Amino acid sequence: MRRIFSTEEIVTGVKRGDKRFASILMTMVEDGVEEGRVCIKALAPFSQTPHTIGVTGWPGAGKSTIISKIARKYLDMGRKIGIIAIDPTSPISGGSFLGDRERMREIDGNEGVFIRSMATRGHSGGIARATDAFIKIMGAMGKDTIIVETVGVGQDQVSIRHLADTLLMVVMPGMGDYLQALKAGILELGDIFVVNKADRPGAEEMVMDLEMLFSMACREDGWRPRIVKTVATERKGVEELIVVIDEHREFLTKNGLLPLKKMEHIKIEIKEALKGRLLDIIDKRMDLKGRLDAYAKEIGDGKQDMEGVIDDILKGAGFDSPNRKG
Amino acid sequence: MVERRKKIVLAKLGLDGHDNGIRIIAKWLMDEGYEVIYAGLYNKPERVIDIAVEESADAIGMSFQGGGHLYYAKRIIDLMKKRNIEGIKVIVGGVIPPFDVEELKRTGVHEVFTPGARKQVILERIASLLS
Repeated sequence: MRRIFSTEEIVTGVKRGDKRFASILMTMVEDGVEEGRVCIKALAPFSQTPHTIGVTGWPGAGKSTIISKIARKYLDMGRKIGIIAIDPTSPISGGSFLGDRERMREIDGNEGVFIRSMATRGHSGGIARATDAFIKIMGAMGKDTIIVETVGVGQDQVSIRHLADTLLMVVMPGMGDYLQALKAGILELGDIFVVNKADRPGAEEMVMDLEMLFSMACREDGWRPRIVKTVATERKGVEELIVVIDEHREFLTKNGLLPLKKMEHIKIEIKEALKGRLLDIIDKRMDLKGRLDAYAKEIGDGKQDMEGVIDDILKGAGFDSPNRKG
Repeated sequence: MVERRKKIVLAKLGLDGHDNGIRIIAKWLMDEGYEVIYAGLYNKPERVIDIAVEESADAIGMSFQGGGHLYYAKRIIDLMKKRNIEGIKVIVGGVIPPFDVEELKRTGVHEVFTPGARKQVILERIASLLS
């Protein structure tokens, strides 16, 4: 694995569906190696566009278990599956505990499945870009269905909305009432709401709450969010969930929404990439990393305010004196 | 370029169900900045290798409290050879009798930790193994 392969070797390997080359390329992407970019570009024409299903929701709601049940079913249907399991990096140590695979034993090791864990660590260009690259690699491997699991707290939740064609929001009874659902803003995000652990008390109320919320809200794309009750550990509701996922996919295709979604996603990607690149440029021009402590201290001590520091940095990096409004 | 973060797959093999030790190791490694891929209990050697390949792991860490260390370590090393997998370090820990340490190393295991190994020693030795 430490052997260095040429970009041609990697590209051919990935196209062949060789897990080993795919995983090497993914690591190159994660580490921001330039050759990784070259490979992705070379693979682009060979990557079919897979159906990307995002799965997000509260920790412990059963995301990994649901994914393994869906994937099992898809495998039986002859589909080829890629799974990206994203877990948070500790902001304190920089380490992470990636335990989603443990819940996917049923499918782990199956020839038709490729599972890859990813920590949210400081990806250059953001987690969304790395995920997007992983999806492209899996697509080039011949995977027709990609499932992306995220903890869904904070910013990555927004980016998963744009990465995924179909977004499942996994919830469970007993985790707050409809007010919580409104507050967290999850309503706008999910295409399909999976009420998992539906054998627990409170499931019916939860479904009713969600139904009421959906009847009040109107989505721009015209899709009415669906609710599916599951008990994933017992495989209950999984068949229905798969039917609903297919219906959503059909809805997107029929209304020509996939290209639009893709455009939205690319626009966000451009901005993300630009941010990353700009930071690099600024750092190169005026050693931002080295001076960050000093700037922080100035602000902390009250000698400067945030806007003043930003002006300073931009000027130092050679950007035109920024005309701030107000 | 982001500094390369090391990935370690941690697994228990066979029917040995004592996972207290490996969970502590997982936490220590995580706190040290490693990315730990936790494979949990009751694994087959094939699964552990598959995971290490799919994740491009730098090392596999296995914990044994049931006496299976010699058998499973050999299976893992043999499988890696058979599949032409290079560059993944193999680490074994747990209830390993002192007289088995040499035998494990001869099999191809890179590092062995016996009962009573201190946190600092474990972390230092893993760091130098993976550097």
